[in-house]
Amino acid sequence: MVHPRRKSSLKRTQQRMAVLFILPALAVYALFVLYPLAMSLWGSFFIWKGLRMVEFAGLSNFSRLFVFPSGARLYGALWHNTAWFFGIMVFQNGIGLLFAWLLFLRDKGAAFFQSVFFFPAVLSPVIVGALWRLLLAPGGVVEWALNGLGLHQGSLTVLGNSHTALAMLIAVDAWNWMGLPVLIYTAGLRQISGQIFEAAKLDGAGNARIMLSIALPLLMPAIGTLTTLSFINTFNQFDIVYVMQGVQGNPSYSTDTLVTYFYRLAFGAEGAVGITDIGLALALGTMLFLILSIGTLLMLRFFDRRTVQL
Amino acid sequence: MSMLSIHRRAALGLIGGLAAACAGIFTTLPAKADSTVTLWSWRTEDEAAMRRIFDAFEAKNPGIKVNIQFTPDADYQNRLSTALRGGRGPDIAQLKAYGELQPFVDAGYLDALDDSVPELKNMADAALGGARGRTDGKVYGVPYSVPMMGVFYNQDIFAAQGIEIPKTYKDFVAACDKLKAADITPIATGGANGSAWELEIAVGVVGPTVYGPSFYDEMMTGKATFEDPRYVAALKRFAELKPYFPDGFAGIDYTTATQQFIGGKAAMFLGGSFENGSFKAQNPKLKFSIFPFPADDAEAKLYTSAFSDGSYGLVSESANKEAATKVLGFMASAEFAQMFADELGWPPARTDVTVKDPVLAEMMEMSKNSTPYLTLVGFRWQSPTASSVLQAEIIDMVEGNITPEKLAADMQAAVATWFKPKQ
Repeated sequence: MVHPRRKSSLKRTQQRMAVLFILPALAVYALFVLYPLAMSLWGSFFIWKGLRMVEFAGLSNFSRLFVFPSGARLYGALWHNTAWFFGIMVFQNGIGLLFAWLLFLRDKGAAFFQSVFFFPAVLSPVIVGALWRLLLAPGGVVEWALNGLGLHQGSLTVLGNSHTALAMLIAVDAWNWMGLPVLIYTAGLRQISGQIFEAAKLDGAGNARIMLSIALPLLMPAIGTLTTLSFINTFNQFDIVYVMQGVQGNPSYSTDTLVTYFYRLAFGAEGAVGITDIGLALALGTMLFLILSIGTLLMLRFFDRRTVQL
Repeated sequence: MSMLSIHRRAALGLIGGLAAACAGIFTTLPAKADSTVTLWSWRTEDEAAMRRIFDAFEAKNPGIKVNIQFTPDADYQNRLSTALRGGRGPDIAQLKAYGELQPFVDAGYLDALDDSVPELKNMADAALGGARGRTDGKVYGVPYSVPMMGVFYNQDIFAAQGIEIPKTYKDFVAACDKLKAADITPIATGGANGSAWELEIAVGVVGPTVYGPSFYDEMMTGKATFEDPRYVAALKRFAELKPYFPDGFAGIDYTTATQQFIGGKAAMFLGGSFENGSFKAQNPKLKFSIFPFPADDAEAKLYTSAFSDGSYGLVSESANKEAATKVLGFMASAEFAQMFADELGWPPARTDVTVKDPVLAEMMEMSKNSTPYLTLVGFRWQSPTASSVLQAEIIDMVEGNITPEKLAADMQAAVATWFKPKQ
């Protein structure tokens, strides 16, 4: 009787100590994460006049978000973020998987190529954006190369064309982070026991078969991590758009994202710095937070269920 | 009122104890050195010139020192509003004009200057309009410049090609054709990569000669809208010039366009008067001047778009108001306007100056027939602004992806959500 009680009191002391140890970190977290988050949620229920909270407005900011003139911007940005996510899934994570598989099959020089693929990821997206802006400008290197190869004629204006600008930005983003899936997938592939691949080969499976039926299911945790990260990053996409097309997501809002739209509402745009609508911005911020948290939770659950244990 | 106090408390809490400590330090500083007036500006380019102007002021006013601090334009508005909210702003702040000024006036961060700065009475309404509070009509800042817009042209290229300053739109197009045949880009302009504000200015150059000087008032009283055939015609005229824009117009940004003009590759540039100083600084050998965009009729009086660029205002919480008001009095004087024109080559807020720079003299002459820069003066008050729509869609309009009618309709629909015509 005495023994377990003592143990539990010890446990309780330990627990109390643990709380004490967490407290400093929790205080910092609360001050810099929870408090601003709560404040922005709180602010999204108010009408703002310039920099001032004027009066309680209930959910009117949220309903305003979905109707004219905000609706077109919101749905446009939402669509661009979604397209960006799928673009990254195919062109960054898909091709990254292919590269990782090729590197895995050919062990020679794998480390070298891995660093080559990873190199752009060490550059800031701001630098990458500025670099590609120069390369893709009329009279730039890409125009020169395409014209030289006879694939294109005249001035290259892909960034100034509302039909092609978004695709260009997605491609630049994929180029920037291509090294990440290569790195994670090669690490994942190396963790799979060699015996499994040998067994598959003995059973007569080719490389493609092994890839699809053996490697892919076993890579599910890596795929899950990358998909979730890509989801968060693409829905927070700001820097490349800002550097390459400005905060308006020009031309004709064709590269506008949820965060550039948020920025314009909260801080104003180039042509109209300071003309803000903070209530609407906070409502958008709250919505973005919900999209990201719910999306992330769903994805983590989805991939958790599909993880294969051997 | 209670919401306001909640918000104030929240803002303070957000910045935390650190900021509170800083605020303590900053508010006690001016009290100690009561003759130092702190002035904030976003014109980092003008640092040396502003220093020279205030050195002259300090020499004449021994009791007062002016400490000018610069923050780049992109961060300025945020820095100023954060500082004012925390009660640790400057004594004098450079302020944006029109709609962008209002949040500061509404929040009560600024003192009205109508009585304390009598020199303001010597300024034209074009200058003061940008510094007025919308609700009370009082002046909250000392304006420093009334920029205007026109066609900058390379005098050497015009002479070499035997081109005179065009008197009619037809002449203008003929001149462009001649330049194009000689393999010279007629008009450098571009708004790619987020610099479409330059194209909005270009529309401001072309517009008044099409829609006329009374259009602004008609818009303000609700007699006309952006969908008015005259405004659509102005947009159309701008789009018509596309063959004379640089190759790959859709991909050319503001910086590239200015470089084409400064480097002598392009003959003309549609721009604001503030380019004067930077063109000269970047290529002292460039021989250029400015002319108003011509109308169809050679006899027509040519109007140019003008606006107030901003002003310098007195911060209500300043602990040093007496000295700061003296500094503002100087900034409103003819002496300051003269130095400002000489040092910076911008059209000053006062017209009683003797202009030495020939380009500036030309601009001041053009300013005599001016009309408010429509999208800024009239419609940059609330979000969505007419400017935001114009800047977003104008490249697509010039490229022919959307019609001028559609752009005009989108602008009207956006401002109709908040704009109320004056009765």
